[in-house]
Amino acid sequence: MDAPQADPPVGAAAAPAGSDGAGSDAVDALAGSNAAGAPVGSDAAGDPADPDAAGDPADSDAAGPPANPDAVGDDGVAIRVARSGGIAGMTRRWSVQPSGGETEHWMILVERCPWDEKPPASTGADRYLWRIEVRIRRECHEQVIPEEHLLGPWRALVDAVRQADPGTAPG
Amino acid sequence: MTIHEGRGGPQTSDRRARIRQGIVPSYLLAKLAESERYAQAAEAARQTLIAPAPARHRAQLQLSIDENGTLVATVEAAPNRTISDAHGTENLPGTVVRTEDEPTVADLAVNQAFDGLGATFQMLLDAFQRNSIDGKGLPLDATVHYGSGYDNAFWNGERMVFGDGDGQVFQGFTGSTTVIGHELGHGVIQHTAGLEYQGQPGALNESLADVFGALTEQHLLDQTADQATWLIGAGIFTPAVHGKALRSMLHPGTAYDDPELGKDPQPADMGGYVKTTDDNGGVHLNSGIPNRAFALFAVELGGYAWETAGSVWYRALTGGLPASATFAQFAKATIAEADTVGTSTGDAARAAWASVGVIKASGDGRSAG
Repeated sequence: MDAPQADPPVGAAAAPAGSDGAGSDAVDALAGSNAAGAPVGSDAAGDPADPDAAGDPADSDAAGPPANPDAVGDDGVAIRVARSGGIAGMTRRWSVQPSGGETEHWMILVERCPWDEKPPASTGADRYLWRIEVRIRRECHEQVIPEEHLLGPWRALVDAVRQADPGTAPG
Repeated sequence: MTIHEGRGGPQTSDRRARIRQGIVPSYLLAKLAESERYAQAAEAARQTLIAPAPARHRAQLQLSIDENGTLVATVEAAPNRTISDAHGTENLPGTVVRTEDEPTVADLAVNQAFDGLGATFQMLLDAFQRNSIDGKGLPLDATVHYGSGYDNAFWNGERMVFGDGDGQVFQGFTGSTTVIGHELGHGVIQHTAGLEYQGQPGALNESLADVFGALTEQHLLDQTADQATWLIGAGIFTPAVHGKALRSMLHPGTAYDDPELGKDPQPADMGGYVKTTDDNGGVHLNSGIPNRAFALFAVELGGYAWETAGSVWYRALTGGLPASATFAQFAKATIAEADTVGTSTGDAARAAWASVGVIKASGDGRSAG
């Protein structure tokens, strides 16, 4: 099947990361956590099929460090968004490595988010869960937000990343 | 003429009170409705029985003729459905577009949701004598056309919500009876064991919702366990996707294998149990393990899965299961219920759980995962 289409990217300097599927972008490493997790007893440190990712702590499950220090843009910024859950249980990922003049725009979006506030728990079942990870040089931020609480600055940040990067197919 | 109070629960005074629509008992209304001697009263009774219910509980009158030629009127619980349209927004509930007493509308998704809710309600009533998701006739509310290209259907604790899909990977989520039954199943679970939506109890929650979804479709199509597809979400993918459905209960991990989506990652036994922090601990992945246990159990017993197999699972769910139940705890509960049916049924339950590695082949429960 064809890859899902996305809205036209905005912010030309914010390079979509990992969207070519070649696994060569730096943020591929940042965004390389195991979509389906790791079977019990397997090596959760990386995908054996991806030598670039092997041994990278960020390639273990998303519970690990949110970003690889090397996986950032020219200005040391990387933003990764993952949407898991839903009735299909498929995970999609989007990420950007802003650089140049666009970095300030992305930094404003990031700084508007209340990183220290714990979001309310989800209600019901089959809702999406959004994991948002930001790496600014050696500073990391991570938050997991139920879709019904992805509002205001969180929604603005996620929407911007999704507009800049077509993302991975669900899977 | 014979009057029966039909399904919808045991013949208790409480139940009779639930299905009564007014001060005149429903059985008397039903009898009056058939009267030739009191024509005006009969018409009034008929109008009362079919009138929109001001209360949230409804009853339906079914007439049939038995083998002796006797007219039999059965009054049983009936659904009270309301479908709303979010018109592509994420605002709930949206605008009401069809209620219980209204005919079909031009919008296919609305009718599919309405019919799917009805099919689930009828399965719960026929199989488990359960009157709606709370057992007390709770109205069934759903919203269609949620969001823009929204690739999901969910239960928000009060209503079912269906997206239209992106049109490339997913198409409308109301097109699958198993999906609708799955979402309503979450409502039943919420009103019974209230299984936590995380880790093993979360995966049990997902699995039981799949069981309700599969049983709804099989009941609707009058399929026996060996005739059923045991697929969840067949028809949800667009034709471009290489896949049959979202999940296979009988053969987890085989529902799809697509160049873009990858291969169905569901494990079929405890050897493949997935540890992840995504998706509340992989609740939609590890559900494959208890899913296969149920499908194996039902196929081994044969016949209609909603009868013995479904009843055993339902009684385990509603018989004091803790909200934090693990696979092993649920297996123990289902085996205990199966043993009350008979030795062979108990043995079939033990064999099913052993086959997926949740208990040892000897039948002793063991911690899983």
